[in-house]
Amino acid sequence: MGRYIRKAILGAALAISAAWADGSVSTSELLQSLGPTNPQLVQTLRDGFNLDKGAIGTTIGRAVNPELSGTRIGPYTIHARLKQAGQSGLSTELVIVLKTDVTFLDAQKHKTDKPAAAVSVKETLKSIEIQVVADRARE
Amino acid sequence: MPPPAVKGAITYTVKKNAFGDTLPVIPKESRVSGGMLLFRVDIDVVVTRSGSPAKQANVAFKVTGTHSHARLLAPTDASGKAVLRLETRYTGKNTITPTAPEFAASTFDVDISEAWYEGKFEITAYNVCEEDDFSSDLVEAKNVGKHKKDFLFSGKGVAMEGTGLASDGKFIQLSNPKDLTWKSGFTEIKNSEDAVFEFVDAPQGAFGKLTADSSIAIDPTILPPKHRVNIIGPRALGERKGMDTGADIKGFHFDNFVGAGKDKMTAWESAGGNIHSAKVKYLGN
Repeated sequence: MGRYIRKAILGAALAISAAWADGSVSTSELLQSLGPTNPQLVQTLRDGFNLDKGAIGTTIGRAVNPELSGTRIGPYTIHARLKQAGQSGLSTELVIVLKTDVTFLDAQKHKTDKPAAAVSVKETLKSIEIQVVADRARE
Repeated sequence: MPPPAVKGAITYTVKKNAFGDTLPVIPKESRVSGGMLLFRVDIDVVVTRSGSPAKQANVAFKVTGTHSHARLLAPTDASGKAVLRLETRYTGKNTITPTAPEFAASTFDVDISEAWYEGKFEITAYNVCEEDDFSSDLVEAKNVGKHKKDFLFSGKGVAMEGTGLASDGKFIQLSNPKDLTWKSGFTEIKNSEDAVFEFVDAPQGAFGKLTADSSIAIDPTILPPKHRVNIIGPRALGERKGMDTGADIKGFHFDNFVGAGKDKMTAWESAGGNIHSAKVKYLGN
C-alpha cells in the first residue's frame, strides 16, 4: 500500500486546479456516497491517508437551478496526511482531489447537458489526484 | 349553611433545562408548522387546597394563544408537586390558567422569545466565486461587459454558481441558465455566446439577499425563513439569519454563507472547517 501511495504522490501533477465556487461537505458523508461507485479507490483513501473531516466541492447556484441549489459536486479537495509516512519515505501534507463524473438527470431520469433542466444529479468517483503541499522527504 | 368553599392555589417555578437555564427548548423531534416553531417549557408546580398539599391532583390548564397547551406530566405527589409541561408555537406571552374555578386565580405567564434547539447542528459553508481568482483572458459578455472567460463560463464560475463577484466589485448573475448547454464533464458552457448576465446587488438566496457571515441556508422545517439564530459552539459563529435553503440542507444542518472568493473558504478551513454538533440558540425573527 505504501509503495502504491508513494508512486501516486510522485506521479501526481502539481498543477491541480482549486475549486473557487465552493462549498464544504463532510468527508465521511462524501466517501459514504461515493464509496459504492468506486470501492477500491475509496478504500485506498481510507487505508492510506488521514483525511481532514471536511472536503470542498463546487456548489450549484440558485440562479442556475433552484431545486438543486446548494448541491455540491466534484471535483472535491481534501487536506490529508499519509498514514504510513515512514514506509513511504515522506512525511507530507497533501491535498487530494477527488475527480468525479457528474450526471444531471431530468424529470424523466434522462441525462441532460443542461444543469438548469435537471431535477437530480448523480456522481461517480473517477480518479484521485494528489498534490504535495509541504514535502518533508527524509534525507 | 353551605360549607366554606375550598380555596386552591398553585405556585409555579420554571425548571432549568438541559442547557442550565430556564429558556424554552425546541424539541428535537418537532418541526416548523404554519411557519411556527414548537417551544417546550417544563414548570415545577405545587398544588395546595386550603393551605395543604393537594395529593393526586390532576389539574387541567388552558393557555392563551393559538397552538398552545399545558398539562401535568403526572398527578401531584404527596407533597402536591408535579411537573407542568407547556408546549406552544405562540411567541410572546403565554398565560397558563387552571380550568378549575378553585385555582382560577393562580395564573402564570411564560414569555416565549429565545429558545435552545435540543438538536445539535452540522454547520458547513459555501461561497460564490470571485473573478480575481480566475486567470483566463477577457471576453465580452451580454449586459456586463468584459470579464474573464473562465469566471463567467466555466464549471467553477458564474455559469454553475449562478452568481459571482466581478473584479470591479459588482455581483454578476446568470439570467438564462435554461438556454445553456454544457460540454462533456460540465467544465464549460458549450454555447457561451447565448449566455445572458445581469448585475445584482448581492447573491440571491431563496428568501432574500445573502450577506457574508450573516446569512445561512436552512431547512425551513427546522428554522422558519428569515428567523435568526446564534451559533454558539463548539466554535462560535454568532448571529445568523436563515436567508437561503438548499437541496442538501436537510434537518439540523446550516450552510454558512462566507462571501465571495476562494480566500473565504480557505479562512473557513483554517478556522477549523465544518462544525459538528453545534449548539444553537433561536433568537426570533
